[in-house]
Amino acid sequence: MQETSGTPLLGQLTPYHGFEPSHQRYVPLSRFHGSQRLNLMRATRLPANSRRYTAGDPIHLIDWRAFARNEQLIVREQNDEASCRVMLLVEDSPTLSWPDKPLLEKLARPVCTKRELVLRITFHLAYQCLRWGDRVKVYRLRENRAESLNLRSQTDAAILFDKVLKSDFSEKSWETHETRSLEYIREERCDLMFWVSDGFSGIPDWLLQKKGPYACWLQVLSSLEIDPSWLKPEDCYFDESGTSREYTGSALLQQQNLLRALERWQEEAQRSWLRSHRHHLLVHDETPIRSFLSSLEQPWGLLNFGRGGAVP
Amino acid sequence: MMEGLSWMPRASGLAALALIISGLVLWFIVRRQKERVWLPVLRVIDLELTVLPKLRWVLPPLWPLLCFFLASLALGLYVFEPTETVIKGETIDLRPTHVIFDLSPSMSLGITSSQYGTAAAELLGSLRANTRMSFSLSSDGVIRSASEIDSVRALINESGFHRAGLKLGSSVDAILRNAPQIEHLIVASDRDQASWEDFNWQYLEKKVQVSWFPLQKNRPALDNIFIDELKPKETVAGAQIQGWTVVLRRSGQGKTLSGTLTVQAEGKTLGTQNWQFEPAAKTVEFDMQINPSSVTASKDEEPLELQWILSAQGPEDLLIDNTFRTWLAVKGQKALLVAKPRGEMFLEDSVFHLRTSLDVLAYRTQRIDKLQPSDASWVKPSLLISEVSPEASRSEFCPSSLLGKGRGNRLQDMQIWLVPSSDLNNFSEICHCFASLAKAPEEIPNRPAYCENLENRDQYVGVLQSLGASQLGGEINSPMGALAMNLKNPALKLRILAFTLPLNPMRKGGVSFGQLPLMVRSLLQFMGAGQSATLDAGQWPRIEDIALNQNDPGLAASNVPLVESLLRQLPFDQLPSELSSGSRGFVRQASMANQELDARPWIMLFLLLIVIALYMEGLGFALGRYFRAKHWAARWFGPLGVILCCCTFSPESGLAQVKMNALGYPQIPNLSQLRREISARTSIDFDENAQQFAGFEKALLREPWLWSFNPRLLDGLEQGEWNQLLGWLQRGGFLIVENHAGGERLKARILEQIPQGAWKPIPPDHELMRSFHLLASLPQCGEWVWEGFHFDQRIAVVLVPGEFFQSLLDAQNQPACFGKFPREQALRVFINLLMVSLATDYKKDQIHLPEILKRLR
Repeated sequence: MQETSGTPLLGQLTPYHGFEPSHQRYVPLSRFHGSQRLNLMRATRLPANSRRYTAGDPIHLIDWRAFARNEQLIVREQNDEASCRVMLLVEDSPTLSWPDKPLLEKLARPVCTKRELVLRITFHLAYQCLRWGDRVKVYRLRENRAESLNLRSQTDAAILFDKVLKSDFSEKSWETHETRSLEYIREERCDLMFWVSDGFSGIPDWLLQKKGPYACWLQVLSSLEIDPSWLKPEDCYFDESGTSREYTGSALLQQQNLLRALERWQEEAQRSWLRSHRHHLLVHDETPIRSFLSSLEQPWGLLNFGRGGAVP
Repeated sequence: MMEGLSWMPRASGLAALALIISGLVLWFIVRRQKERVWLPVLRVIDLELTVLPKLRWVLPPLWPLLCFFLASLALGLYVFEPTETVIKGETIDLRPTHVIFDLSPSMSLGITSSQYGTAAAELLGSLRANTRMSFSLSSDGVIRSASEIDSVRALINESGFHRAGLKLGSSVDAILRNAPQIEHLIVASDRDQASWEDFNWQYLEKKVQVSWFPLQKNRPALDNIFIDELKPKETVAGAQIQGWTVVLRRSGQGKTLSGTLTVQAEGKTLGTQNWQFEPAAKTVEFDMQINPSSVTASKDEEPLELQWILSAQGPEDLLIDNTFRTWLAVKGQKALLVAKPRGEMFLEDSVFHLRTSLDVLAYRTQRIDKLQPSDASWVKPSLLISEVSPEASRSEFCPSSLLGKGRGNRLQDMQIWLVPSSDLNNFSEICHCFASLAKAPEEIPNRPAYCENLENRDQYVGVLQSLGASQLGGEINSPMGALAMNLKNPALKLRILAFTLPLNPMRKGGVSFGQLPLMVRSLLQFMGAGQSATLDAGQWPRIEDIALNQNDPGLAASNVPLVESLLRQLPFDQLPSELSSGSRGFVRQASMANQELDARPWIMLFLLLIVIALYMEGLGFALGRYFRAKHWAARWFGPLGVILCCCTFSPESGLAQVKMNALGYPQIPNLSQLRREISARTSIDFDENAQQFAGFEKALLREPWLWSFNPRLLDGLEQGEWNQLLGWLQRGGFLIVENHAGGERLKARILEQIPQGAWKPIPPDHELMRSFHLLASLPQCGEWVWEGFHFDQRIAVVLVPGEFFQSLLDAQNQPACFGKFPREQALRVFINLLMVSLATDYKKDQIHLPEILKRLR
């Protein structure tokens, strides 16, 4: 959809843009089936798996025979691997329909909607994780319910993406499998969690309180929101959710009022997310695909690229 | 123009103001919403900016806005009903002011003549102090000065409401001719349509200010019942009982009304009959028998006046038209026979059989021996028969002796028969008499030379022929065999019939005793005096305009015109400005609304411009959005638009296209042959496919003409459909009804709705006879002839006897009643009908005259 001078942008992202998670090289075992290693500890007598006891280790793993021989607490544990459980939470709010059709016709610019971008990113992540052998669950969050997508294989993801693509990424283009309550999502265990949203509806409290998984907020905005230079001074710009607001374009552009306010809001939102979780990534439709993929290839500890900044 | 105006804010004015303001508000709201853009990021950011107000000023397009303001201004002027103080209480109006008091029958509704007189005196009293005024009553039309104001009440009481109608146009015309200095005319009248319909006050207002002052403040709206028509039935002379057909009519509808109808003559009641209107009925028709013998016996000479008095049970609107007057008379025209007696016996009397024949024909005969100028024993007859005997001198038998002696009027409009006696052997005297009658009023004292020595009949006939007399009887172009020679004296309107033979039963003339009365009747019919119905009766006339009939002796006894009885009222917007008296003096209501330049067309024009401008703006906006990113569109828009515009104007046929709308016809075949024939002769493109309708539909009225198979199809129309048909007729539609035998109800219904029109047989000089082909006559179907309803100076409905259209389509099976009627003739009549329906009487305007003269040269 988007087209720049040779650089593929995120608006053109497909599920088949592959990347390799960097942490795979730390788990080179043949039995490994996921993108993440898990320690499944059990007692063993193999010395290769021995280490010194540290406070807090389970007592039943201590090799008491060895303690009797040399009076040293040796813990013998065995590491095992399992598939990673990945949860993709996509917040489907009405603001994802922006920029709407009248605006796009008025601007006459090839910009995709935020919904299209969200869907491209979601299906890309789901496809890639399924390729690595992870178990992927995709939930579409709408108001107080979560609708799940039936994705069990790469093929499922590819077929669904194709269908959505043909429907021009409309709101009704993706079919959900079943509806669950938010309580269920909150309690469901997972190893990796991606929250894909523009954040205009705020960060839900239950998401901030969710403990355990590595959680990443993929914040999706439109390039028109990042750069408001397209605003016309003589036009009026309004939003009528909650309190109705309407400003002239000249007032918003004057002294970069809109841009500054947007930066302030973004810093605040990012800060409140990072208080509970470690990872945040801001993307928009003019982000190069290569930059997005390289960000994902970083170890999870480095995923919050620049902490508070966006992917260039 | 605005000086002296004050504005009357009423509910309609305030509504118009609200409409204008809401229009303005809507305008700007629409303008504002067109430029709004949704920006959801605004919901999360915190801006310390002034939130935009709900309304903001955007300059609208200039031309639509200008039209809007002009339309608003015109609407305001129209609905705010500006009033103008014309005669202020404290100042003097120097304009000559004239007040016309309408005393027509409709004015008597809800007001007595004394109340009317009081109101009139009050009006004149209010005006007297501030104006130079005069007044007149419609009953006599005399212009009275201000000094007679005090007598106005007595004058109105004395004259009362007249029975004749009033046409304000002719009354005002007569007044302005006598008093051209009048500058302000006040018409004290009601809104009766009959009074106002001929009054073009809009034109008059260029010279004279015209105001309307309603004297009837509270006019009741009841149901007026009146006698629509009274027709005598054929009655034999001397019959004791006489039959009349009575048609009663009402102006309203919806209630059951009943009452009685009484006939009186000379204070005696001749008959009474009850009547009743059903709720849906507009007219009631019934027969009534009266016995006039008790009062007609002594009144042989003068007609008997009958008064038909309607009395309704319950309230009734107009009382003055409840009395209807007719007359009844033994028609018997008078004949005076001048003949010298020959003997005692009737066989010896030469005019005995002639007199008997005239008696049989209901002539009241009188016989005298000789004419004497001083003889007052005989009254003026309609027929004077003078027998010329050898011994009689000319002064004794010749009516010319009555000329020039102050009694010339006794001969006017008379028929004179000069009959030679059987033994007359010298025609010189009778010739002299004929010549003096023919030349009258010029006197011929001496016998002309051509009358000398006329010793036989042939010489006499030759002289009569040379005097210009035409032959009557006998073979054509053989005056010697003529029974009589006929001559008309236009100066005295004399019809002179000089017989060449005695008017007796005789073998020589081939006239038997039985044939003589028949021959006399034929002669009387030929001479136009043969209508000798035994008992004659009729209505007193309905005089619609009293101003034109002030000297009519029958004015007082005339009947109330139908248009007055119908009580139709004119809408306020067709009346002059209403004058009303208030604390500041006299004010004219809505003095601008009724000007010749009415604001409404301007309002409609401006609104139309606004709609067009908005439409163009909308279209431009839509096209602009659609072609926003298409740069080629800007380059091609102009040429493409021009091409598209050119494509919409496709060349059309120059021929006028006419379809045939047919109501109630059985199957009509394809009219291709008719179309070919019409196209070959005229420039009309006649559609070969007739549109047939079984019942009335609105689509029937889309063509300029409409054919109905018979009148009953239109009789049964509902009121709404009937109104549509009437509206179409009044807009110029042309209705043709075939098989019109028994269509009296349709005729009456049309006449009731369009009372200013009239039904009459189509005369030979009608435009229908020459609109395209020159026709000698129209085909007659038995006794039924072609009739037309003439209205608005054109013919709107034609009643065709028989199945004329069928005769046009099928030349082999022609209706028998038409007799010998070639198809070519039918086609010519059809084309003429078509031309009249499209162009009415276009030949009257003489626009072709130069071309015709050019061709003739």
